Amino acid sequence: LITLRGVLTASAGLITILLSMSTASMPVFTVGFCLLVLVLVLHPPRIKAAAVRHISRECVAQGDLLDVKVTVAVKAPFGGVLYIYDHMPEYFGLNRGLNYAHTDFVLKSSVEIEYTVRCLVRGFHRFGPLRIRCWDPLGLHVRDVELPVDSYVTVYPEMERISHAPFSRSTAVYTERQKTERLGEGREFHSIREYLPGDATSRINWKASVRLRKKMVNQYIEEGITDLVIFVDARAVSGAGNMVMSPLEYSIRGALACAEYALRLRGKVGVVVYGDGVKTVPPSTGSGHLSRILELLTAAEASGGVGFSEALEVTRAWGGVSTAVVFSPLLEDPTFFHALESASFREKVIVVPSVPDIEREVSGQYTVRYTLAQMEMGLHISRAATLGRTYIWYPYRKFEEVVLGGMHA
Amino acid sequence: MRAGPLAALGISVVIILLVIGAGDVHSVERDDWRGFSRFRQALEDHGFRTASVRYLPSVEEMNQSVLIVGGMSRRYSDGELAAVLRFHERGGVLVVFDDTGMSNQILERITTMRINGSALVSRDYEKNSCFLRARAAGNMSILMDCPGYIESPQGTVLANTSHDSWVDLNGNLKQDIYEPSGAFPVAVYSGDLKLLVFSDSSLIINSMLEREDNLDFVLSALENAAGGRKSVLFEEATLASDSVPSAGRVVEALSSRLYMNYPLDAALLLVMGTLTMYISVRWRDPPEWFHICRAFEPRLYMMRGEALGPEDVGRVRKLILEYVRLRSGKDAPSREDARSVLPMKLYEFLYSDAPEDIEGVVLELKQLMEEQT
Repeated sequence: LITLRGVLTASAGLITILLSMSTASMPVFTVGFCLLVLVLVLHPPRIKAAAVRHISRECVAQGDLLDVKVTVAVKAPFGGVLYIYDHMPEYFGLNRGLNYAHTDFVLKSSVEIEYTVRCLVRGFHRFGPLRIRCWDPLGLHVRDVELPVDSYVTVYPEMERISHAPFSRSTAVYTERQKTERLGEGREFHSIREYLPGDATSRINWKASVRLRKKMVNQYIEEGITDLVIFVDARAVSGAGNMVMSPLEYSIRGALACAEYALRLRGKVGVVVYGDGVKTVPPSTGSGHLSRILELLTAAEASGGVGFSEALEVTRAWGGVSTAVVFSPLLEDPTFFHALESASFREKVIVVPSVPDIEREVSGQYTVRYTLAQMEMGLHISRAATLGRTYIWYPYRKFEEVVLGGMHA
Repeated sequence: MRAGPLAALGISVVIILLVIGAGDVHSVERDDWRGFSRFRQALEDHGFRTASVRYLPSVEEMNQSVLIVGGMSRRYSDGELAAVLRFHERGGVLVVFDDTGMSNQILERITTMRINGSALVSRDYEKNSCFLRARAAGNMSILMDCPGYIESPQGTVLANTSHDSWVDLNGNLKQDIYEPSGAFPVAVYSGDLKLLVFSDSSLIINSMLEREDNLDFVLSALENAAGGRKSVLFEEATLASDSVPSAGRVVEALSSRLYMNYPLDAALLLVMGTLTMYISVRWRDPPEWFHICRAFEPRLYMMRGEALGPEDVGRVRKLILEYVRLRSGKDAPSREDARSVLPMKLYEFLYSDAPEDIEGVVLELKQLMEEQT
């Protein structure tokens, strides 16, 4: 590639030659000719480069710092000027150092770039490629080299450990059909069985053991949440705000907090993310299940326009789910209220990240438009409150604060 | 690293320019051996006013003058030629000093005379056979430097070479059998045509002017041709240059060429200028080579735009209707229901074809809702 300087030099050469013809001046022609030859002959060296990138962690939480170190070895037949740029994710902020270096080099050199980034946005991010731009000594031409040195980082959403949830702890035990038969450490007695090695001695039923002349232990029905499905609205409208503060980001934080809480109490949790199609993690339990939910929520992006009713259709195959928690800004989804009304959940919880307040924080505007948006949102929330427990999530609040703050009347 | 080669380039250019020298070869401004400065001085001493012309269109109106065309190094453009011919047609006197035949471009539009650029040599010479003497009217002798000769002279021949002159076609300075020989006319004057032609541009250069009777001969011929005109113009638009011209000279030459319908030059300049700008814009460093954190870029949905406009009327009406539904307890409230629960301003807004003061309506509705709450 020719640079701006190269173009100007070539143009100057051509114009000078033109002038020399106009003024019949041989020296002027010579100068123009020399300039043209210079542009045609001088080129940047063909460099051989190798690079290694080291990142301090491959998985981080949203908002954490990450150290990056890149070492580039360059060899060239003659000298030139180098600009090395390490491409970093556009949603990361530089915290320390710079992700590029501008240096002269002579034949062989090694360049190190060290910097620290703050992982502001959740998701799967890529560092790389490494780009090297090399100029000839006069800066007339430039040659770009791209080294496919890629590194991947997973930024998980911020996880909030809550002790108060927006739904009831014992919703499922009221119905026999939905009662879980998993045996655990709860308080409700279920039956006795023969002692097996590894059973806690505190669980031995001594009376039964004496009666049956062998060691017997008590078994209990697990207490807690049994079936919970969390809906996360990831339609394009959920991206209002910015990449750090948006209804989707709040929804993901809330959904993760609810899922972690329910799984901690050995409940079964399913998650549905709708927007650009419907993506699900079917109800299950265990710590491994939290990882699956985490993966799904990490990958969620605000796009598409698939409505709540379609998401609800998917969950019908999961059988009788007792509790539904829906995270949605309630905008531009005409099917929402009707679908939720007709759904057969015993308990319905709606958490609404407040779009007008998020947009006001992001834009700094406090205008009549905000007032209008607030009133519109107020109407949606009033309607939602007739269908289930409804919480409004204002910016900068923790999810537990929202829950403790009480639901919308 | 980059400063070194740049400095070397700069120094080289300066050296080239210094070595070559400065100025147009046959300019009246030059005092060295190739200049016309002494001739101009001689003219001024004889009462002529002199001026040099670098922008030929300006001569059209100077038809009471004598235009000296000496040392042409290129052909005239169509426009330049037209300007010179108009000058001549309007009564101006043309004096040509040329040994290359370049000025035939003018002569062929005026007369049948031509200048043959083949070099004349003679046995009547000084130093070498190219440096020959010619016999002029008034028993004068003039010294010429490799002159050409005038074919088909029309008018009075003012000077001839000696009979032992020949056209040295092969440049061996010897007379070959096929080379024309004899006395060749080297200066012709035609009063009818207002034209004076010399077949040697060196005749009036500083180093030759005072040799033999050159000055007297040229002056007398010029005075005769001028016919009382006292203004002499030196055409310098087509002079050869041996150095970098001044900025003013460049601008003059360029504007002259562009003005005189040199479409190729103009088009070339235009294309190059456009191309340069285009390339300059296109080949900047690509934007992906700069890190810009986009995490905080706002993407507004409900609060896009500043003031409320006509596109928001529907949203506001929907809100008002919702308020009416809530207050009246009817799913499809009538106009009367609306009239009973809404203030006049909101009612008019709801049913007006051209609603006004949308922001006032929003604020009033908010106040109403808060009161209701």
